[in-house]
Amino acid sequence: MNEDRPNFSEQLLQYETPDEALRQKYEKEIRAMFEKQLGPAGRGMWWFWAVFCAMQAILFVVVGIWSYGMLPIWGTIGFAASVLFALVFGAICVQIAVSGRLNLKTQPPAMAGLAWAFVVIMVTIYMVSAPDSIAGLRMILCGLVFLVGAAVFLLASRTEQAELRTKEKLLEIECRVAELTERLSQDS
Amino acid sequence: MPSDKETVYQQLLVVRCQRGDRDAMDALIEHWQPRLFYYVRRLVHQEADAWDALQKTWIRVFRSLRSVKDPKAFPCWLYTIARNTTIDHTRTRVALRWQSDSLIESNDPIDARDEPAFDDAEAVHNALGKLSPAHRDVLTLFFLEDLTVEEIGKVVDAPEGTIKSRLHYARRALRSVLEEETKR
Repeated sequence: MNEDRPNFSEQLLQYETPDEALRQKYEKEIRAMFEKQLGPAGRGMWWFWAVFCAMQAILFVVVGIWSYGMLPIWGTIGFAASVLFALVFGAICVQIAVSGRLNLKTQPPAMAGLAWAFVVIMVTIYMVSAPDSIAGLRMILCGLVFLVGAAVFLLASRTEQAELRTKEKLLEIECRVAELTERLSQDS
Repeated sequence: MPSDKETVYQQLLVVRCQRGDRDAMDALIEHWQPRLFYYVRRLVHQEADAWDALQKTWIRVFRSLRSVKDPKAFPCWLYTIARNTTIDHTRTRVALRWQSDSLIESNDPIDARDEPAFDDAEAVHNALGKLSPAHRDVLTLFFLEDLTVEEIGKVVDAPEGTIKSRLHYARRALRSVLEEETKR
């Protein structure tokens, strides 16, 4: 690289004078890439889902209490898991509706993760409560298809995150070493 | 050329972005936006096209950032996406290719780093606009100092020898433009 001309690129960049209106329009669009501003209809839709989740939670609480003792214990656990899922999902909906903004980087993945966890829990309950018969075996096999897929997805995601975390730590150390080297060379 | 610490920090930002860190994304955009805009602006006639191409570039970048295995390769990858997106956006691929095909080029090992440097950034900035698109393309990447000659070759999809030769002729063309400006 052309080390003989330090800061030449910086000098060059200073002479670029973009149109302010176009730059502002661009920055607004870039923000929109990560954050979706909701209009009254959009907010209304999220309020609708929040109310829907709350109603679901109430419904599962009522049914859970009403059927307590009539269903196996796994049935009650399933209702409890559904109540929890509905409440957390509803809380995210309320957060979006109140703020009027959908954070595309965090909220949709959180909702997808929540849905994934819910499916895994329910399929596990479905498999555990399978009767000791051919029908039960069929239930377990069907559940396994979901669980194996979910496990592969989870493992791939965890492995990728672990690799990235290791890279990040190494680069943090490298960054500190470079900082120290810079300081030492300034002192000497 | 950025310092070692700055280079490592930029790599750190890339990894943090891959982990979904929103602040790292903002920092990455803040660092690279002026440089990318400068480059993209040299490839198009209208400023509005440059901003549009830049926006599309970031969309593509964040959509496929996970494919970057080595964060050291990020600047080269980023400029390649910016160039391809700009060309796709303005449909100037044919024009650029025609321009580069018509250049006098050889694979002789000419090293542009051995040539005398340009000092007046303002004059260079103004003169860049008077060069052919293909010369402007490589020379802008060279002046932005983020990439090696080999990496510039990867961005513009040409062998290293061709880039060295193209840089040599581009600098010669730039010198003659600067001389003409001085005479006026």
